[in-house]
Amino acid sequence: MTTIPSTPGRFRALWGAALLVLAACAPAPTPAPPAPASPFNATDTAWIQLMIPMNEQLLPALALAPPELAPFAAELAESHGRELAQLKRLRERAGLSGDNPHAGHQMPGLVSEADLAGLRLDPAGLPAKLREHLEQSALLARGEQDSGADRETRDLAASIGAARAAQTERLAAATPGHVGQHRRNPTPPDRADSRVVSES
Amino acid sequence: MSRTLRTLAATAAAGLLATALTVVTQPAQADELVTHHEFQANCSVTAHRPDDPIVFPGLPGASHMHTFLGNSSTNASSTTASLKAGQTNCKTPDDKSAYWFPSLYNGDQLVVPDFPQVIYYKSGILKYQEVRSFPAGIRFVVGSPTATQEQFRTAPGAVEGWECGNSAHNWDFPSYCPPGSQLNVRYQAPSCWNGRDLDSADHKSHMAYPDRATLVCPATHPVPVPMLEFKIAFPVSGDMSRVRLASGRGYTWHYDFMNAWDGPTLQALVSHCVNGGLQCDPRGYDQYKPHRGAALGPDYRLPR
Repeated sequence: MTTIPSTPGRFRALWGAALLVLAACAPAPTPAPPAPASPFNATDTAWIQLMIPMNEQLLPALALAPPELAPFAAELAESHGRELAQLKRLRERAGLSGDNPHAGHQMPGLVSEADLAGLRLDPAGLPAKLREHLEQSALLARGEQDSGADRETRDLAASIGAARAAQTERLAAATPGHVGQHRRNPTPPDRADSRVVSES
Repeated sequence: MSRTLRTLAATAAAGLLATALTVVTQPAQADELVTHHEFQANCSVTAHRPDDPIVFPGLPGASHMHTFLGNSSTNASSTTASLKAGQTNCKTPDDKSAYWFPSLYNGDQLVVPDFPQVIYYKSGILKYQEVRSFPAGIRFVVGSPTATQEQFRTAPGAVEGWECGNSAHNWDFPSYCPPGSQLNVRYQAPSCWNGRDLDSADHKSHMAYPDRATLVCPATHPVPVPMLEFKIAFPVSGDMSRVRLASGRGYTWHYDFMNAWDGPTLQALVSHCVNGGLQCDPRGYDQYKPHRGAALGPDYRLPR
């Protein structure tokens, strides 16, 4: 019969103390690597989570379109709805919850509750709001194409970007002399950088 | 990834040792009254951009307008590495961190803080001797752009709300401020880290506030790190009825931090000023306790 000598208590205590010392000397806790390799990077998830409220919150504004804008608004509502279905599929694939991280936010191109209330009082503001939305989502689509990782998400961004360019032209045609003339432009169409105000 | 982090951690640990050997600081004497445990970062405005590298990484133009302090390279695509390669106007040149908050407007006029702003690094816990340095690469958001007025008033980070002249404890902008006065806000950040994540899905839940009664970190977030307190002064006064934040009303105040400090420099300031119970300037010097010396050299850098 073989017996395995048990570790004397004193040694166990020493060993425990050594472990404690080691633990105390260990450098700052090593942060865990991000969850198992997902094809989605931080840009992908930020874009998906922003585009869903961008599209969703535009829909009630489109319902306020005056007669001359109604056909275009109806088209836009339809294509935005299709995009929403694709965006929500991507959100599911990325394992994101259905929570809207931008609830209540006031952001460029996002139709807020306050914007909607304003448009109900004065629907004449709709073309400018629409244009801001279209330009902002085109800008976001470029950001996703430049910095996103997931192939399908980038493809959707490319198709949304192309659609927004065409829609901006259609809007201009539907509202001759209305849009882009007296409007203060919060979102220049070509470069986000042009909005940077530098302090010197 | 984890190997890189381990190497980084090892480098930081080596740096710490070197720090301990090069900078000799006198410990607090038993008879010395400890009234503060802090140092300041002093950083000026660099730019205003509709960018947020934490919430909208890689998406320039996605955010409401933010006013940035410190590192002039900060933009939507900033990473720890890009920040470390950038330049800063912070008084302590090895602090390449990014600091930002929603821009403030008076009507349509941008209001720009016009002198170096104070960002305190304090102890949020009772045992200030146990506060540790920030881990490399940590980032988080403080406060919420969607807070209600009641949430802003009762938030654990609330100090005195918006202040100007003799008026304080305003949980939205005061309606009037004495001409020539500045509109001030102070707000404290959570200072307990979960010890694991440098960021989280909501950019907040890897951090927590200490228990309000005991000033001890909760078991879920056991690692005490410096408590940031932004103290921002906006040059706007008189009729305040048109003053607003890019994120909305005064109670939507929030701010963001991406750590890009040189590790040993931050460690030296935390050890000397926070753990050492001093009221330090950006050089880690307490003018009321000159015999305690400074954490950094005359050039605001670690002697190397």
